Amino acid sequence: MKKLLALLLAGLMAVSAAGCSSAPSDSSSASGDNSSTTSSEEGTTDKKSNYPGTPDADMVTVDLRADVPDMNPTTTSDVASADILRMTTAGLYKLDENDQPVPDLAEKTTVSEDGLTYTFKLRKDAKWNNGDPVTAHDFVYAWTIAMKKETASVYGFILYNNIKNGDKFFAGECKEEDLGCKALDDYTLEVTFNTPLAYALNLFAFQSYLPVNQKIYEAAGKNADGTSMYNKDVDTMAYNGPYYISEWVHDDHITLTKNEDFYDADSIKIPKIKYTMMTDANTRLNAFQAGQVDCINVNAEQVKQLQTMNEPVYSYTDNGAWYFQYNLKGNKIMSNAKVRMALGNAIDPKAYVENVVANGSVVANGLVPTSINGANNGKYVDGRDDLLDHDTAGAKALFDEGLKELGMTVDEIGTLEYVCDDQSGARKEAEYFQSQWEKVLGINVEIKPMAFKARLSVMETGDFDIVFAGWSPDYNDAMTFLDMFMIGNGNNYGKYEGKEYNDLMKQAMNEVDAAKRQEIMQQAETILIKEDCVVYPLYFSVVNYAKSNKISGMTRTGFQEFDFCDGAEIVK
Amino acid sequence: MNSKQLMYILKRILYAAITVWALITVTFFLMRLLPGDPFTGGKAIPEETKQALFAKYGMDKPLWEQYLIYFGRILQGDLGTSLRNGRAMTDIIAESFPVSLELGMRALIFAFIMGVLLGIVAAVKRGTVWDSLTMFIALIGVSVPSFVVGSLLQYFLGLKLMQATGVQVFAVVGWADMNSKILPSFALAFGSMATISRLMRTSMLDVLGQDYIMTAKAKGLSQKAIIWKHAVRNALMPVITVLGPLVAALLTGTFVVENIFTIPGMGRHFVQCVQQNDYPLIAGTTMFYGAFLVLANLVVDILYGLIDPRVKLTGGKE
Repeated sequence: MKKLLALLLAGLMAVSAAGCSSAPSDSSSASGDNSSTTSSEEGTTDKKSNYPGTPDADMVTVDLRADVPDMNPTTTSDVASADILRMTTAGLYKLDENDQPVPDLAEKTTVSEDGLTYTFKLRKDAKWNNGDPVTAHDFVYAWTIAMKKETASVYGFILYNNIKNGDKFFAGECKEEDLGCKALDDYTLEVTFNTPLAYALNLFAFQSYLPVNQKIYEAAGKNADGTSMYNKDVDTMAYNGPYYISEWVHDDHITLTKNEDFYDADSIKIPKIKYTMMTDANTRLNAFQAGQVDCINVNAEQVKQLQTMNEPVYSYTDNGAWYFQYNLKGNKIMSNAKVRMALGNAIDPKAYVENVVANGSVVANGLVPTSINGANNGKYVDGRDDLLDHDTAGAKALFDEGLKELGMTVDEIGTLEYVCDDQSGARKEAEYFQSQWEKVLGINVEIKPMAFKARLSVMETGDFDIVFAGWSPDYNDAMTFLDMFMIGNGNNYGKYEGKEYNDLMKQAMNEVDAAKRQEIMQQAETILIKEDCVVYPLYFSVVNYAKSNKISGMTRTGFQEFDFCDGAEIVK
Repeated sequence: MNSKQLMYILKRILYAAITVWALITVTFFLMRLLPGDPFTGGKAIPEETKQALFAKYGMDKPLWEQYLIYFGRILQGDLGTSLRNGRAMTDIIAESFPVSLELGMRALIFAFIMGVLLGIVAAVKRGTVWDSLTMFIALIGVSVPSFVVGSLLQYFLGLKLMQATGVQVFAVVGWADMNSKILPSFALAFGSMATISRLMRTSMLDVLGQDYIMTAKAKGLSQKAIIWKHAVRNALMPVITVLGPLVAALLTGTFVVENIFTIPGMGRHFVQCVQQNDYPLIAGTTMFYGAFLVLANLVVDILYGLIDPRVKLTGGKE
């Protein structure tokens, strides 16, 4: 009996480990010390690193932080997989070093007048690794699989919600040939969307829109659950892009080798790239200093540490927005917009971002980050006023005004529930917010730290008043931030039901004129944040990193965590 | 080995199978109590996609039916596939277990030899400065967690030594050449070495006070012969007892040390699968660990018989 108990305990050990360990931490959301300045964007600093980098003559090593779970374009849903897919698979479009979509396999693109239909002429010199040419059929084949219900692709919606008849096909109500994606001949592809999508070219550069080689897909087979083994390992890998995976030791490293058969192989200058998968932040820095890796992400504390060592630190905005997600159906006071605005203003966001987040992140002036692209090659936020006044001094008055509207007094509020991740950084932040709310507004807030999955489950059930949440965009357009709060959207955790907002968003979705569409979305965002304060945006995050002198020209942006195809080379 | 011993071992194997079955069953139902599901992520999945995912993995069926299906698959040697990356549990074990096994073996050999030696020295030189010194090392080993030992070793012997000498004596991360295997093995061994040395000391002191040691002394045997032939052999018994669970813990992978030195062993799967609600992986890793633990204990019991002929493997009174 004792042994049985011991065994049960051993089994439970794995379960309880969840309680004491934290989810993989994101270097951008690190918390810690005082403010730090970072030299922004590669190339703007002439300071040289103190480290020469790894010793290999023809290979650079960068840290990806985790293994790549799913390289199959029809089912992939994560950033790390996209990083490698971008290097091995060429699609219709790709992103340049400024995250602008530029033609890849699409030689010529024509758009119909209503903005619904795209016709692509494909280049004829692109080849798969089995010698097959890359044809229009490869795209249709891939997309059809992703839209099938049996595939159960997490990102399938980005196809079937947009491509004509996609939702019907998913529901089994129409056939493949009725879908809005057709191969007119081997090198002509026609795609029809439900609505004119201003960000369509961004979608064509998105990993769910990559082609799949049918022969390799069929040869790869399926596992016992019916999941395709396509691109799961070196021997089931299909590639038509600049690199291929020559070595993949799971949870350890991936080595990419230049694909000499790539149509634009001459522009690729680095022969080999190794991606390590280090999970510990201190380990990364030690490995970097010891010359075992050329590029690593660093957290706020490490930024300070590197600066004292006179080591340049680089950064890029990852397009993430972090905010208080309010539950409008939570505590009674949460239903009042003034109360919600006062809760945000009370914590003095500027002081918080500079002193607590302290990694170079920028104080938010709306929900959509300033880095997101807009109409006519501008930014989305062009011409939009700041939506938050950060009036900390007036927070208490605004709060009282809101309470008055509700006919309540402070004593009647009770305790608010604040939910956050159970990592030490998030807890420290929570305590800061808690003390500010008590000091400025005189209210009690209970902190409920939770593991990642538990937090999401609480958000779904609505068992919270305030959650610290963040959003990183799927594509470079304000829509990916704004459609979250439409009625019925799964990400609308606050259960916001703004009719005017909803109507404006629907109008924006059907607007062909890019400038007009942007204006409508700005109006909607103003209602969402300034008037209704459904969420209170706090900051737009950045990623800080260090790199050795060995690499130059590497692209690191919010949509391309690593890219070595824009002229990156090894400095000799 | 006579038939009684064989019967005993067969009986033990049967009990082991029952234990592992109970473990699988309890884990299967307990893990479903974890908040969230395997597919919840930072972004909400459309309801229809979620339904399709549940249907694909058979999670739309009643729980007892899922259990029967899962158990049926185990009996056919299929431990399930990870929901996160679609790879078979057996492949994951085949790939990561040998790494953990090698790391664990190195640590175990180091911990055992050093621990036993330190214990003997402390016991024989009881009350001297040697005793205090070895027990001080043991105290540090027991109280300083492996992530501290690992981080210190990595920083000073991996990074600082390299910066000072210009030669990479020990690698900071990885698991490839000899120079990458020493620091993690030592970091992993340190705590166990301390446990073994303390146990060995106590046990040695106990044995050294026995009458038969007095007899040996009276016979005029040399100190060396008394310690090695009479004392150590008997004092090892308690150490062998703790070796069972220790072997299971060291050989199946330790998250902390593997994490610090970026070693692709089994350790991380024990933790990550729970964070990600990867049900087949949770059940698979737990079952593997449990089976290993049961096996290690069985081996230890058989070892008893070899070390001490008085112990008979017949199981209970006759």
